[in-house]
Amino acid sequence: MSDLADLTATELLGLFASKEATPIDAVQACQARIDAVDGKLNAVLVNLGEQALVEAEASTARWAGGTAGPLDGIPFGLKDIVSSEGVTTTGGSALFKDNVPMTDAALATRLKAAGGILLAKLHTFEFACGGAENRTFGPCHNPWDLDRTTGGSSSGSGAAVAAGEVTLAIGTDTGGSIRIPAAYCGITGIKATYGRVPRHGVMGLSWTLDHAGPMTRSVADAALMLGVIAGYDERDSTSSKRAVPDYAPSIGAPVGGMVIGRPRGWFEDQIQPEMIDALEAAVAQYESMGVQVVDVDLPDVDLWDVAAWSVMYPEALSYHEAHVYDVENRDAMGAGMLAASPYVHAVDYLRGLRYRRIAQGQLEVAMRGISALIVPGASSVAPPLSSISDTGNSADWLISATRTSIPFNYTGNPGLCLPSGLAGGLPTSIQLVGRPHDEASLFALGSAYQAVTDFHLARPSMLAGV
Amino acid sequence: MTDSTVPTIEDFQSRAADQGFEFELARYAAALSTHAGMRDALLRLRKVPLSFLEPTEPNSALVWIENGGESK
Repeated sequence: MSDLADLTATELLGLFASKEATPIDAVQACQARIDAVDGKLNAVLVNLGEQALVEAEASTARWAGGTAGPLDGIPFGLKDIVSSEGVTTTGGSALFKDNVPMTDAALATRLKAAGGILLAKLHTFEFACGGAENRTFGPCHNPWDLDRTTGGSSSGSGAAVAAGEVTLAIGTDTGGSIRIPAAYCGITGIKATYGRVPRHGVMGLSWTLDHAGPMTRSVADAALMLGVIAGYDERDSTSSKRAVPDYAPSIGAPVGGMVIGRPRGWFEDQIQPEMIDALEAAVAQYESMGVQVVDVDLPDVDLWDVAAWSVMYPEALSYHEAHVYDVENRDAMGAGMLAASPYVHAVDYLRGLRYRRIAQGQLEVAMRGISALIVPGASSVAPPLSSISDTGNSADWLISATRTSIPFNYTGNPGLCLPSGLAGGLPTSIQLVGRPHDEASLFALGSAYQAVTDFHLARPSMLAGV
Repeated sequence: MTDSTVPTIEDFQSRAADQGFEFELARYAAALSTHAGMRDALLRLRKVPLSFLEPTEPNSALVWIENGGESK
């Protein structure tokens, strides 16, 4: 049998059901992986191994008794801006290094109720502001190349899932912070529709753009995890009251005859050639599966982009107004972002909020008759840590890195990021973008792709011999 | 031709101070560079007419999302 730390949640659940392995085995395997590699990665901020083992014993008993939940016994991690009862939730910041919430975030409650086992709180860039450094907790390293960034701000979630330290992780995404680390670390990540996953208990950056969601090793796992954490919560006024569909039938559903739209322009300009090559290969793969890929026109995405930043800056400043006095003690990206925030005029902020509906209308027209868009998963492969300046104007790097992701934070559409190969030993990726509340089509298309490719099964060479 | 409406570092210092903020000098230059990079798009965005009669208040975007991306 493979090392349990390398398996997907779906595979582990199968082994638990067939009594070939237990949750205790799975937690021990992930703990052993943390012990073996986290000294190099720094993905784990709080290791809850002892408590997790106790919970694994209870989970093992539930499997034996026939009362196991949908994620029973699966080790998971939470990005450390997600509240965990009785466990520090730092936001990646020295300002909150001793913050111990009294309650779990809504999504954490749901993961635990489904039988999931919280094994680790995971590294994040300070206050989820993107970047590469963390002066309080140190940098998080990419398992594919320790000298490169994981991307972020869900840095630890990307690294920990890619390295097998946890089977599933929660990330959050305001401008791409689930999808960018998923792309850089070679895993699967979904930013579901805005409001699909309640944000209660999650530190905010921009309430109009913030999302939380799964980071996993397969589309099937992403569907499973989203099905658990999605749904209305009265403590988040923006969470959707729509019923949560059963995503399971989407996995392996036929995709022949479906149509995917390819919006070139903004989404393929200023993108690293390796990412375009990977996109072309993925398009050819889909066409070989009977999926039609057609060009679609989205000429005003540059306006969506500036509108999104016109919304993010003031909302971030509003959240962090009390932290500005000490901005030079914040990490570079957040400091740069906050220091660039006071200059958006109120009327431009409101224009950004009102133009959102116009952008959505453009997208609605472009997506008529098609199930999803296909764009690069990120604008490049993971860059070297040293290339992301820790002084000066690091905000410019952030704006470039979010080029293919932030448009869909702005419109609220779901985006599924999938590994699509390796270039120079580093993961490349694609992103599928669906209509609001149609994650099912993304799961069908994504799982079909992973059924005929093995990119999601690739593991970083640092794991060889572990 | 120089765009005389482009803010200056002094403008940014003044605006920040008006809100009670003060940054190191390099921060203003960096912020100005960031905003200058988006300025052309911002000027185009400002020219997009936003309807006075049709509902384009922020919540209309949430309604569109809740409707599954369909205008109704």
